[in-house]
Amino acid sequence: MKVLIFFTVILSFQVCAQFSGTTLLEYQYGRLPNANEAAFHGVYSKPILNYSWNNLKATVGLQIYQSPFNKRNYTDLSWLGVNYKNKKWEISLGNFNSTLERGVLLRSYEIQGALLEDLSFRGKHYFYRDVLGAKVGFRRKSFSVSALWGHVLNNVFPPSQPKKDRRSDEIAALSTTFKSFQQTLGVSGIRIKNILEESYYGSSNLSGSILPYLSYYVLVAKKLNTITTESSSQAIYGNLNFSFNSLGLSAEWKDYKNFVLGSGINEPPALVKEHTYRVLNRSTHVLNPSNEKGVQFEGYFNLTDNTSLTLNYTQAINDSGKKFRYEEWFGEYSSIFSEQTDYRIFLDYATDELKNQRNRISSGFVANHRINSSIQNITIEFNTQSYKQDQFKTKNYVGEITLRYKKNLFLSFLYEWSNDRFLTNDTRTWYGTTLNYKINSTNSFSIFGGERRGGPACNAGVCYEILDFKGIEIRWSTRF
Amino acid sequence: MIRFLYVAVFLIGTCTTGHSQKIRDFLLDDIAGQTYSFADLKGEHLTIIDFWASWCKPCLKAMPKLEILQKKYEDNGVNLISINADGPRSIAKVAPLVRSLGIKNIVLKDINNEVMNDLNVFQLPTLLLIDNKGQVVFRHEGYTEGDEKVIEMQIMKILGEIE
Repeated sequence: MKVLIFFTVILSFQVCAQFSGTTLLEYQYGRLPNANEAAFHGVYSKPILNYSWNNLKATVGLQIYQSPFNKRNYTDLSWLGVNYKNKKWEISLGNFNSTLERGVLLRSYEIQGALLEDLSFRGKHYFYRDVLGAKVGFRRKSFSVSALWGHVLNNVFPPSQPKKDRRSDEIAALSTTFKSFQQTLGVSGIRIKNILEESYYGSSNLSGSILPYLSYYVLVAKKLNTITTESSSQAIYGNLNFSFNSLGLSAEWKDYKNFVLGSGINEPPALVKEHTYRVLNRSTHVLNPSNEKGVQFEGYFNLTDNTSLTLNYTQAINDSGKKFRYEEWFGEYSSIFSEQTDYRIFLDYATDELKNQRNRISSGFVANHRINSSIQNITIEFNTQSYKQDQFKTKNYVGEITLRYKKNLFLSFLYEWSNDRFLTNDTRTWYGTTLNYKINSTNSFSIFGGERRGGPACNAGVCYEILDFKGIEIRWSTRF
Repeated sequence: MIRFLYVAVFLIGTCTTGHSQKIRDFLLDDIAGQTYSFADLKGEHLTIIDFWASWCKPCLKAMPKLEILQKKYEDNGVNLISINADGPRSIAKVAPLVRSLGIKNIVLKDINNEVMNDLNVFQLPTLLLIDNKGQVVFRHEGYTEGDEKVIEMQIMKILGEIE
């Protein structure tokens, strides 16, 4: 027995050293406040286990959702794959992520911790888009080449839906880059096949530095098997970056025409500022690659070590027979009051013709005060927004207080008020409390209670819809 | 048999609370278009990897502090690798932002979040300390003023163990 225990100890430590993984467990009890339904229990779980051996990594991961409604429930083997990676080669089999040409031809992503819940299916699932197939890449410092084949996940459909619907687009792609004299030339091609079409797209890009303080990137992509000019598809994207001392400037432009690939497997650069402020993040312009042109300019100026100014101008024009213009001016100033207190203030002016919002003015601040040499901390955020929509003046207010104790305990209170006539005939308020506790560097726990306002949200360049929720939500995430 | 089961349960527990992740070498472009591997940039004794994004305010606060820390310990074989996690939507803003902040270190672009996902990085900023065997020996998430002292203590502790 002693020998058995000895070998178990030795072997287990050997095995332990090669395992890593993550888990996310969420329990909810509640309902959609506006739906005619009773509150119910729902549990979502996502355990992922990796086994590493030198340059090889094998991954297996499940998604599980259980609720009182059988049609919404599922247990799905969502991740199964092997990946070999060294300095020159990368080979993937099974589920993998891949993005081609800055997302213009293909965009994979994983929005950490975000769960999608669609109003029609009402089953929760993880917010990611990957490819199920195979990928081979070879890379040196002066050139790279990669080839992939597989089926892209359409994350509109939860795992409770048939696999053929969730991965309806079959793709095959080849991508190369060549580097010389600080300039990079990239050429890519992709074939997309589904029950409706078989399409071929090609793209090329050029990027590099003209001067140490001036760099650029230009990309042109086209559909190659176009029969008529009406169905022609193309995407043009470019940016120019300039920096001088503490000043940084970026200018970007876009021209997208009929450029939704397959069921929407691509995500071209949106050129719309992604805001962290709640009122602005919620009312952002969502890119329509079918017909959109526009520009974005952004400037940074670091006045001192602790003071900076950010200015942004965004313009997007959608033309589907009738032109709709989105225009936004944004300014943010961040500085310190004292060594213990820092703050940010912002002002934003926008016009959104598609949503019929005129003179949309948003403003707000975030102030952060440290007490007792960083042991305790208080953060106060306030946002306000008003705009005219069909002669009606809509107003939104958001207030949040977050208290932090040591490095691992956070308690926040959120208050929202709105008279948005798409949500209420009168006025409406939302209250919510969240407690976050980081147990250690591998485990964190959070509990939310109250009512959460839904609506559009953008995270890591991807926009999606969050449903309203009223109830309690408990989350536990681990990494090992 | 009961003792065997006890040991097995104990070891499973050890697995789930351990910090056993090892870094795999990678190739990424920096903001000037040069390609670097982890092996090119790692420190002789210790490597600090800082994951950040242009839209993450605490990340921008932490970056100059980490650069100071790296300069202080570079003679002890410590190097800092700054890895930007901006996606296609905001990657164009990274180079001018870095230069306006006066950051002199090499900043790599992980536009597809390959390295970030490989190392199970959930939130930004995340700082990892990697020892000379490629093992992740310390992980720090988020940044508030004063965190650099916690990180420095860890660096000193690890360097002390090496010496």
